Amino acid sequence: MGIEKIVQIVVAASIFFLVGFNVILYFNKIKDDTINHIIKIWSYSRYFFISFAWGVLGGHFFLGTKNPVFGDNWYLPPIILVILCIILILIGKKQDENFVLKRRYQILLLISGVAYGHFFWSQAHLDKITFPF
Amino acid sequence: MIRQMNTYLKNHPKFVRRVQAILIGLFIFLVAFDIYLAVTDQDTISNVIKRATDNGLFVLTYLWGILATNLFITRKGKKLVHEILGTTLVVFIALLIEIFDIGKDITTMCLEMNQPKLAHLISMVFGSLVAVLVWRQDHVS
Repeated sequence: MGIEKIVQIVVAASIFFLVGFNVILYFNKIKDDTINHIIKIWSYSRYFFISFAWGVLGGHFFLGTKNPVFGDNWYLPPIILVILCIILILIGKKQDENFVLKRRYQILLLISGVAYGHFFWSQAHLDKITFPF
Repeated sequence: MIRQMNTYLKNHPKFVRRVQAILIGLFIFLVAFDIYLAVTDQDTISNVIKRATDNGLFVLTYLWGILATNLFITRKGKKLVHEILGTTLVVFIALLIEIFDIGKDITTMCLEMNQPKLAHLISMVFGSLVAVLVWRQDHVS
């Protein structure tokens, strides 16, 4: 079984598991325990790096300029992404325990993430890159 | 089965903690798996999803938009429709996109404009708009 098949199975299984689990969580007696609800609470409190990360995933998987900011470089984009996320996590940690992010900043984080994924971490030029390994 | 599950949950109030642990565990696993794929082979999860989206799973872009809005863009006013109806609509539209291969038509149109990624952007925005109407969560204050 090729690696491609395995990755497809892993991704599909993850999605099916999450959806199935969520259905159970929605219909059980405990209120507000679905995965969607939990992630919403996390992103509106100190862990707002999550919305930025989701935006980056969208821009990285589905968009992507043919002329990324770092050109041929394949390692800088993910490294800088990790640094950005760490910075966002640290800013979040500095906030009060009851901190709630304003919705407009949430939208800003999401769009910034997409922009980063598109302009910095693009896959659209991968055919031109030779990896050292 | 639901009743038995409810009884179990009533006696185990730490369930939400478990859900969080599972989510974090799954995330760490996926990241570690992707790093492993990247250093041993070029076919990472990113590559597979990109190829799948280009070839047929165009609906993934729509689903990204749906989730982006549902998770991060809350609804301050009243619900337009009940959550279950909203979920049904979201899934129904996803099925329509797949069955009628809407992705191929839009992609062909965008390729003629020399903008291949535009099709994905349209789908992402479309998914967000659908969710804005029928699949948002309550605002956090």
